[in-house]
Amino acid sequence: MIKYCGAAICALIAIIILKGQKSEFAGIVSLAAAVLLFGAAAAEFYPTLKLMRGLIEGTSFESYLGTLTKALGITLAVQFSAELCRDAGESAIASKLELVGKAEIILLCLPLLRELIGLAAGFMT
Amino acid sequence: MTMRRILVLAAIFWLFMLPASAQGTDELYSASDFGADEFLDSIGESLPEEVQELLPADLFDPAAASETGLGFFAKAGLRLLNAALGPALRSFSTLMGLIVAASAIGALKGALKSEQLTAVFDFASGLCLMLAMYGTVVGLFELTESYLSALSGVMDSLLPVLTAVAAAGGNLSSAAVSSGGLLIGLDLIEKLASRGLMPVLQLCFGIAMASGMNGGLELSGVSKLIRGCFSWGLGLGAAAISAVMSFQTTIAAKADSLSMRAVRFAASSAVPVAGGIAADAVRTVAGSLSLVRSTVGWAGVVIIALMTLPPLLRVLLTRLGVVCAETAAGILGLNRERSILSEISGLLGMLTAVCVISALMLVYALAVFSNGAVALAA
Repeated sequence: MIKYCGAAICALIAIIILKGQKSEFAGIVSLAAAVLLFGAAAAEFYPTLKLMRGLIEGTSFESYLGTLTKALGITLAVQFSAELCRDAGESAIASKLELVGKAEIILLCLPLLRELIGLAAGFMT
Repeated sequence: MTMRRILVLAAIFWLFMLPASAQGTDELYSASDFGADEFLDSIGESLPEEVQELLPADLFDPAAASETGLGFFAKAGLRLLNAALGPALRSFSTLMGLIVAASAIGALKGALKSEQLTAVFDFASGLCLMLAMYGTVVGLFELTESYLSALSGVMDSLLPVLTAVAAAGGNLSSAAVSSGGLLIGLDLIEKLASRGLMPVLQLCFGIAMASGMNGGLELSGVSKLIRGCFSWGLGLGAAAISAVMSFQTTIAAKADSLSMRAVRFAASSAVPVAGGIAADAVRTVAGSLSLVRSTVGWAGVVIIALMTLPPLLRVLLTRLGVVCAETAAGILGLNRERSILSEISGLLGMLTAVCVISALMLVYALAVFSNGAVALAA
């Protein structure tokens, strides 16, 4: 954890210095630091996800965990990218990206909705 | 004159020399004479395995009837409870796992800053959790439906035996009334299973879905109202059928006994000496028929009880697990999951009411039948 805090502080210092001298590189350093820290966060999440998958294996929730994991991944990736766009001053791109992310998650949920409606309709047959 | 006297004395002496015997009248009739064996053969496959194992070998034997007392039901109940505990524990552990997963997802949602993305992710996670939760209990709906159909089928098969025993005892009117009342009761159960229960479950399920997916809508009151109306209507229908059948059977039994008394009086008056003896013999036969009647009625009660216990115990134990999971969700602050589990608990409560009311209605009908007096004994 200390190393991630250290990396973030180093990136911050570099950005502050670069903003005063070469401001065009400050954005790139900011983007690189964000990508690296996002990758580190995903690496930290991976063992937890693996443990949950092992616990849920064989239960009725197993098929839904995959959908949830994908939805979570889409949400985090879209949020991360949208924030970067807003930091760069492109809020229009950020909002459209969020719209795409929402559509993607709803598309992911369509088979579940079909299953839910089929479950209710199955009571009549 | 002397010759005549000798002939009369010889005739009297010869009459006393004739062998005479009397037939014992302890067990003139048994349930097998009224199709009990055919009934057991016909329902053999429709009964669940665990119930078939528990049924006594000579169910319609008066000796077996005395052995199927409180101890028998306690043993059967414990055995069936043991069988129902496994699936109920699996459902409970799945629900607790889902609660823990929901808690973890809730913690992850806190990391999301965008409100719109949070709302969509909330929708996706709610959908997954709802499907998984309902998946643990949807099998119980089908179990209850098949139980109601099996119960109706078994009673349909027992009805001819009951009617034959009643008719043999001279209770012609009460046989017709009882069979008519039982047919109405069975029709109610069949209609309930096919056209009542599942649509109501579907409606309540739809309301629970809408309520669960949209946190702003509080529709639990509507669902509770629908379930309450259904259970109340079912209870009222069962009570009405039972009350009408009870009074009609009593009145018909009185009419039958009056008819039999009239017949016996006519027989004893019109036929000297032998008429009175015939009336006493009929009373003895009536004792045997009364025993058969009680035995058949009690056997029916045993079958209904053993058929009702497995689904009832499954539903009750699963409901207990759902209530515990609901409490855990409340403690963890998961309001949406708590409301979904509360709806599921309500649906399981309705299933319990349906099972119990159906079984009690039929048990009451059999009790009225068993306790009715044989008209021949009047």
